Amino acid sequence: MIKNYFKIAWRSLVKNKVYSFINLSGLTIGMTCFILIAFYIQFESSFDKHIKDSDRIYRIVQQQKGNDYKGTDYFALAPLPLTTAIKQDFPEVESITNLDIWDTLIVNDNVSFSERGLFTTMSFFDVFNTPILEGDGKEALRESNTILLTESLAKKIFGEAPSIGKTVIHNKELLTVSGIVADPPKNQHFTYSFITSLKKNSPYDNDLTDWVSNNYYGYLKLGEGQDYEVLEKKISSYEDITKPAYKANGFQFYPKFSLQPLEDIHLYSQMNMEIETNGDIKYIYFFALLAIIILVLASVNYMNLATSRSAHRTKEVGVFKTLGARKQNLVFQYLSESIILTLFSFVVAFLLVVLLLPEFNKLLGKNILFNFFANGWLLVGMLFIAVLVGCLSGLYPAVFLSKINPVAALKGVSFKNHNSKSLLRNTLVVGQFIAAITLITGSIIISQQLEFIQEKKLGFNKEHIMHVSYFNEEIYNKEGVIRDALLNHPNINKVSISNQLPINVTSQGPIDVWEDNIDKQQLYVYRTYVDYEFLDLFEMNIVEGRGFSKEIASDSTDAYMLNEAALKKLGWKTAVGKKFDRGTVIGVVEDFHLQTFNLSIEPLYIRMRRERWNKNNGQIILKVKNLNKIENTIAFIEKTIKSVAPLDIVEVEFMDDTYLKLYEEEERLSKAFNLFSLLALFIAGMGLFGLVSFQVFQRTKEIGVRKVLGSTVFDIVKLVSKEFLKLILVAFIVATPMAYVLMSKWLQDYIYRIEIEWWVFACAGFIAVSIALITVILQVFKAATANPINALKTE
Amino acid sequence: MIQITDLEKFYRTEEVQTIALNKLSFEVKQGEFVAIMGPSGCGKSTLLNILGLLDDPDGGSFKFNGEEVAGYNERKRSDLRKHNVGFVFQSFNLIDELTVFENVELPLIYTGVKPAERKKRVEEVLEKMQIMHRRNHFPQQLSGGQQQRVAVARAVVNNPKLILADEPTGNLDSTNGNEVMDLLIDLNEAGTTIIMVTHSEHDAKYSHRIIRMLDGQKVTENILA
Repeated sequence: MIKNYFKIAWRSLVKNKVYSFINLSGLTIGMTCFILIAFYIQFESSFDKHIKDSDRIYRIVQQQKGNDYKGTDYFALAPLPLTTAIKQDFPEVESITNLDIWDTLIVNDNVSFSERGLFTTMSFFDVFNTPILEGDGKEALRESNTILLTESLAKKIFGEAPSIGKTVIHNKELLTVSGIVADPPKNQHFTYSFITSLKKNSPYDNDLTDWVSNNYYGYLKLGEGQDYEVLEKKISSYEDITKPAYKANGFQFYPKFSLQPLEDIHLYSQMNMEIETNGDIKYIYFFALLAIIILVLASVNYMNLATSRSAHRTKEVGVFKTLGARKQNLVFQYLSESIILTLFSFVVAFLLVVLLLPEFNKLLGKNILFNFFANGWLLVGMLFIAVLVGCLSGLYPAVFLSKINPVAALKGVSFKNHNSKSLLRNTLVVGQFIAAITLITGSIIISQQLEFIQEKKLGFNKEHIMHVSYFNEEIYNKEGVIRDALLNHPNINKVSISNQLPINVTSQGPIDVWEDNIDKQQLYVYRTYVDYEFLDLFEMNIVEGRGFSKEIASDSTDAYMLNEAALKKLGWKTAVGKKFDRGTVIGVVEDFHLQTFNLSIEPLYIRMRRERWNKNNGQIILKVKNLNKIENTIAFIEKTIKSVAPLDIVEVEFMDDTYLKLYEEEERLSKAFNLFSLLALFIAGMGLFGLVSFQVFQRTKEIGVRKVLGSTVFDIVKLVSKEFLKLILVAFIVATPMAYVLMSKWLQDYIYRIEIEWWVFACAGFIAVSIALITVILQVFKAATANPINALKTE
Repeated sequence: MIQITDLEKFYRTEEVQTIALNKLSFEVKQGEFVAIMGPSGCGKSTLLNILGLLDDPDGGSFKFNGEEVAGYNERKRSDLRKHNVGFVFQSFNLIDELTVFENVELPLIYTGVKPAERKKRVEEVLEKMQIMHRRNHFPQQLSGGQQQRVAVARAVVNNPKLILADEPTGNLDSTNGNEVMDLLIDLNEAGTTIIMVTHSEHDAKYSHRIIRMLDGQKVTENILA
């Protein structure tokens, strides 16, 4: 009998190709989105969980109350003496390590590789159980002249040849490869391509005893059964040491240490000095909600379409009943049909996921791999959901059809007086459109905010600017030669060599010396070090005084420029000539955005670059005249810099791109949001299509009679459209305040943000109404233009 | 075999009640072929639906093989129906998604007959109805006459004691109509009781007895042969 059910189900689906296609595509799109988003959520939640005993590993972090930096006073760093003390004082700590990670050059055979290095101690291998594939692991870190390469870096440098015992150069030092470690998986909160001793960090020896120096990350592994919160309380006793130490260094705050579970870092940690940009639990919730909305929309859609089609199948039900089919036979029959469809959708969705995963990765900037075994539970779960959706969405039409009286069913007149059912269907359509209108509104507002960010006056001109980051002292030493050489190119207008770009100023420090600061207040001020061309190149406005001048010798040593925000904080009306820190203010620049738009413009000082600052790295910034044939200019820049620093990796970047990278996450969010809104709208549209076709079917006779009596096609379209427009109106009334609240909340994260305007809602409503109208008109038009004789024959 | 006494059926809309069967009484013996005639709306189809256990009467008695079935629930009715009653409709009512063979097989599936036995019985009946060569065709690939043969085959495959035919030739031309009537005669001669609703005097003449109805009541009853 079951075989028979499936046979009828299958043939019925094949016979009704349009219906099956619409229903299948809706469900498949819904499931594909759901699986993809589930993969993303699974990937994001899997961070660091592959590490052995990950639930016993913690990062030592600190809060420096009063030291606000980039919007938070939490720092992911710990001083070296703290880790030494914890290891000595608390036996419940099984192992503890320090590490640092930065990008640097590894040289072999005069070929440079720009790689991310992990600088750490022997105990790293006790805390993180990193697999050693070849040679030494922990022992390799006993000496500082050895290096461990990851498998992929070893291949990159040495090919298939054995690499143990070979040497590479790092920072002019010869290091012997003494081991090969596995590549860290992509779902680890820090990655690296080689490991070497932490002692390479130049201030390491001093830092060993300095409680005020925070240059390293600290991780510890607790013994089994130990409570980290207990340990956290115990380590607060080190405040006795840190308080006086910070005070002695002139700081008006001190650190409060705490422990952060390793597994929480990726999704819950947004501190200063994170090793890599972490994910955000907010996005996980956001995408989970989207996934559920899309899946529910697709299921509701299926229900509407299945019910609408069941109107055409009552006669068949009558025959089955006459031949002896019981209610349960029919329920099973229609359920099996629904489940076949959802399973088919699942298989297609599964194939689509495999095909679309690379694009999805690009969209979200992730590296999610499809691994059938690793994702097995997810797929089994999805299969279960597919069957469940099949059951849920098939149950209503199944029960509905099986209840019909066989005599009525044979006459095909079972769809009378189903007010309660049409109420349910109408509610479902309203629900779909609430989701769709909310998503459209969200989508418009997110795009507006992003456009606002891109268009907003930054306070400087970033057009036609390119920059090259360098990590080499030679560039610093030959600055003049490079500048002159670059300016020889006809397309290069200006060149500045400075320590950072104005779009992401990271350096900050306390200042307590300025005119009138009698009570020695402390002010945290961002700082950037520039050359004579910097202000001119970026076309920054000087609102008081002057910029740096080659003619005035003291400018390179004592001159300070402040921004307007600094003046405001200092309570100054004018600044020129006033004492500030170790010099005198010569000018004030108009406020420009130092960081992203979710941070306000803070006080800043600008000084001339002095030798002791950042010799090893900085930015060569170039202003070009035009962007035609820019490839030639780029080639020239690369060649010129290479001629001075042959081992440097020269990568010419456009300032515009670098700027947009700061908003990459938002950009991705926006793209994903637009995509999902579009899909939701598409699915909701199909749900409406189902409902309209159902209504039109029900009213075929009425339409026929009206036409015979002289009604025009337009009258009929108007008649049917009116009812659906009412549903859209209800959806609009519910969705508008919901979208307003949700989007206002999202905008709260931006200090500089757009105002939500009324027309956004009007626009979302208009889109929803248009889609509804098009659907209704297409369906009704068909019925209204048909020969009324056929319509009258329906009963 | 069938005994109805004072059978009543009403149709109610919100404000009006229509009497479809008004204290109708008659009897049909095993092996009889009875034709029921009357103008549209006289209650013929309502009667047939009640006799076929598809619908419930609102009053009176309905005895099937001596057993009172008027108050049976859906499940009992369905059981009794699938083992004892075969239907032939004016509009054939074949399932479009199933082939000729599968359509005829359907009642056997619902009565739980094993697949091998099903195959044998379906083939037998298809041979008998001379439609075996079309066994793998779908209904829409057949002519009206062929479709009605399939419908008759489906009605008899379970060897029902009673066949209810609702205007079986109503959608057919005279040649095909006569063929279907010949099939019904053959079945009746083999012992199956047949009750047929028809508008056609020609078809009614094939029966043993004609019951004429008007406004839910029996008006005349003519014994033919």
